[in-house]
Amino acid sequence: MSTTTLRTQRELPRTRLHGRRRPGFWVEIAASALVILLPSFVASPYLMRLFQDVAIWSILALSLTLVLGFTGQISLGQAAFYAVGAYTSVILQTALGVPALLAWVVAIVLGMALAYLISVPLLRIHGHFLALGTLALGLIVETLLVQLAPITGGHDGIRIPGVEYLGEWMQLRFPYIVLGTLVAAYWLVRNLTQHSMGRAFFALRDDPAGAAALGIPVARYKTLVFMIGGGLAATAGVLYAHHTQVVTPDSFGFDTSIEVLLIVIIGGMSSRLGAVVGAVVIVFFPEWLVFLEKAENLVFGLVVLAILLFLPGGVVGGVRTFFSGLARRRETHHPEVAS
Amino acid sequence: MSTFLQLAVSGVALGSIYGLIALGFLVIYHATGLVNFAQGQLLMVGAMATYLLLMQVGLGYPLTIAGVIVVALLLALLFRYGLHRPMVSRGAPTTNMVVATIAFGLVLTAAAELFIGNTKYGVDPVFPGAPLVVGSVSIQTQSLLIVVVAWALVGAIWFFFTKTLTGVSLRAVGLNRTAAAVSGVRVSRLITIAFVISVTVTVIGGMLVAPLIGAGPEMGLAIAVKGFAAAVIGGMSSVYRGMVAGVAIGLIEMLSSYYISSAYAPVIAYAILFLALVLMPARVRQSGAHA
Amino acid sequence: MNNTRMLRRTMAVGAVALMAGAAFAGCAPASSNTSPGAPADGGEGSSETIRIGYIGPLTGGSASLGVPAQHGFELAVEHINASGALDREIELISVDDEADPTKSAAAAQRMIDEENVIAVLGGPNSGPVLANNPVITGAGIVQLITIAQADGLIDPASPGYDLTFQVTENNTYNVGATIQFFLEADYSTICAVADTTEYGQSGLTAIQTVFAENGLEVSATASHEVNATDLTPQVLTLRDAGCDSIYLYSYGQDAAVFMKTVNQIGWDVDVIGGRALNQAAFLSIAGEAGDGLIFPSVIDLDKPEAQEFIEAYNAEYGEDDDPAHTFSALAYDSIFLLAAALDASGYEGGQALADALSETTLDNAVAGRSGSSLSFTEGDHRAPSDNFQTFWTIENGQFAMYRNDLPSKRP
Repeated sequence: MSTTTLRTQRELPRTRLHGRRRPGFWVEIAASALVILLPSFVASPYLMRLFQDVAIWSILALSLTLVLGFTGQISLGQAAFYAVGAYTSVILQTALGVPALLAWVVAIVLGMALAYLISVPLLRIHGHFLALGTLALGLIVETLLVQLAPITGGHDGIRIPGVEYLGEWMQLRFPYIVLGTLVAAYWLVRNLTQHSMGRAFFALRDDPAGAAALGIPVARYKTLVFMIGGGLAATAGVLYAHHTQVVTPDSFGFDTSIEVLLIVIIGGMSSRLGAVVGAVVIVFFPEWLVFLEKAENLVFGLVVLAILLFLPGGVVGGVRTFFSGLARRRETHHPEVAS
Repeated sequence: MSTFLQLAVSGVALGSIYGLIALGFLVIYHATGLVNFAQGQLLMVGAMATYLLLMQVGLGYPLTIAGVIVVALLLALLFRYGLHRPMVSRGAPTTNMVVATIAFGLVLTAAAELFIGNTKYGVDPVFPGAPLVVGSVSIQTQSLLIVVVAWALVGAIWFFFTKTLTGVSLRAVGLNRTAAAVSGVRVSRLITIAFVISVTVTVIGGMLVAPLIGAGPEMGLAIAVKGFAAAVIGGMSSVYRGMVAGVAIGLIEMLSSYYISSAYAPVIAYAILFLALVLMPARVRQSGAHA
Repeated sequence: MNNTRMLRRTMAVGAVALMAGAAFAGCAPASSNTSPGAPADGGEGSSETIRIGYIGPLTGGSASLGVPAQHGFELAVEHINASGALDREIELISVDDEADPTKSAAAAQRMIDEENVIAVLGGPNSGPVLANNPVITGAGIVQLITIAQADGLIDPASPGYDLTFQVTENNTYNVGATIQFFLEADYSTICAVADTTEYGQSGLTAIQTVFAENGLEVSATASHEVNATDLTPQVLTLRDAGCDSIYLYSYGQDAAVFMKTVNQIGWDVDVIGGRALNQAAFLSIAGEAGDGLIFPSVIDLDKPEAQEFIEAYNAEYGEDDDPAHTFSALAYDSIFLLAAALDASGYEGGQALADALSETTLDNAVAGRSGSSLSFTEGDHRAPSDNFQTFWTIENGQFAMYRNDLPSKRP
């Protein structure tokens, strides 16, 4: 994949290397607290449901943000790990009577293990080939979910009523778990990418050869990122299963992988906040456009196109460019670097 | 044996459609480095336009073909000037543009559904009548037409790229845009030509395939994935390789579906694809990937 | 980072974690107060209109089923309101879920919170219904599944069973009725082909079960993805297996391609289909290749109610909207069933409505053979009575009724 086509500066108008001020720790802590405490004061079940949908999409999108945005590897098959997380957790609980928390851990570990296994052959290829490879993976899993009906329930799916498997107490408080996991995932990605490993990730993406020359263990890091991505996607799957209280194959198909890609790009490719913002757009815009009835899809597609056209760094990139543009106007005028 | 031949015939016809899609992918990719994920929807537009003009409005095939090509031209111009050029001039990263093509495809699907309908419609073949029978193998006239037209188009495009000044200039633009511009090549105009070729070829593919499987808003997705696969397996390089890869995919699909399992055929096809990608020697891969 | 900064940050993180823990352990979410305890019963003495919701695919691949259903609902609502049979007006609120389970569940929650519906009508896909059913029944609202045929949707073991009802005949009913053709004709080799959608796969399961119960063997099966481009392998698999009859359980467009391929290779075989052959796509794409196929339907042309319905529907939506009228008829009857039950329950929703439904019978429904009825009085939340099924065919590229005198039984 061409290095010159990745407009690094546009995507990251702010970098630590240039030492500009960042929102920083305290804003993120405050926001995290707000998100975790959201269920305590949101009274509308509908809104709460949407927030949980956003959270689950965000975690799934974070997995792609990590893999794509920070290391430049294109994965069109995150839905595969999403499915593994969801189905493993459900099958363990319903068919084998495994308690919920243990099942969740096993499901997430399995997601990471699958990511590791896949990464061995997969990370030898790059660019479009990698895209196609992950695409094929996603499609394979999609078909298997239907064909392995004795295990997965096929299209009838597997029901997992919350009250039965989580107990009433936990089921009632499940929104806290969902939002708490989002915050945890966010901080995981944050800490991963802001320390030295994070700079290594950027190096991986922009110039693998140079990174290798600097002694960064490229292959190992790529695998690690892929594994964490798989684990995050599996986590999203586990949450999805309990949130919807049933797992059916139609939630884990190619469309889902595409939606995740849309979320990441709309929100902002190299930004963990972008994953959340993108999820908000994907979940809330169609709801706001419901009054359009059948024209909703068309209008939504046009809105997405407009965002992509006018905000190359996604929504987050656009906001950052706006603010840094304001800041720049106060400083000396810098000539724009045309690429 | 006759079964094998029959499957092979179907595989070749099916694969030729995949090859046409691959052709569409490759032309734009070579000129701009863009992977166009709306290729399947472009096929769908061709099919829907054919349905509209041929079956609803009632024009005969000659006028329908002309009409469909006009639609292709308009669509290509819309794609190029409404989407691609604005994004390039704003310096959008390639990934964004790829996703923009996905969004463009969604818009096309939504528009087709809104303005024409949400079910699948039958389209008359160009040569109505009984299928041709050669020995124990039968082939529908439309399938034969697909093979003939697809390969003719590939040949024409190959000729264009290698023997005409415009085509060679287009390749130059793809290899090194700056050098081409410095050499006096009108880059922007050539990129538009690339879009026109790509869209037209794919739209014609839709027109060809509609009589076999009908025309509906959702028809493009599965075909596009295999077309993309054909382009990638062909090395993202020559149009002939894309065609051959397409036919190979079609054959694998048909044969594995019969000889192994029709339920697991997609898994087998994608697994073979996956293996092919992984086992392809890096040399071949690198020569195809955009440097 | 110096030590005080780290200390402060760690304390901040600790504080947030503590707050989270306290909230989690102590407070139930604010939103949980609104759901089960206070079901929206859409007008218990408060307003004049009864609001009924419909969540189904109005766009996307399943819209060819979801939209005729919506039209059937709308026509029924129009007729009931015009006739003044109920003291109150009915209002239908339709929401598109694009056959996506997540969207379907969210749409259900919105319908409950903001639209104040007294009942929700389910669409043709089982995945979304399985996802929105817990939301709907969890809020104490009745769900009426109108077109989705999956057997598992009515499951006494599922938490929402008390409030969930199915109007359409399910897969086992269809297959149980259709099997008589196979029994009569005494075929030597019976084969099946199905797509990998829920329709095809659940049909295949039903076929294997019901045929085994009746002592028939299905010798070979073939599967394919929906919107397939070429079904030659499937056709050849069955031909080379020596089939002399095929049970075709695929969506209209693929069934059409299948039949065209069968014709193309010059194979003369008896083909009997599933209910999806009622789709407009089958007729449009198959052309003459579909002639002679037999498939189940719910329309009995000898029934005056059916004739009147077809006339009214065609006048309003055109002949091509739902050419075989199966889906719209089922939808139409669903509204009438609900209306009758609402009348009986005094316009109360929830369990009262469910109880009223369990005592409702629609004798003069549009759907079903003459003499059959739609009723939940048998106690298992499935409406069609015995002898509900009719059979249709294609003649000269047009839908035509084949037999309306064949028996069929409730499973």
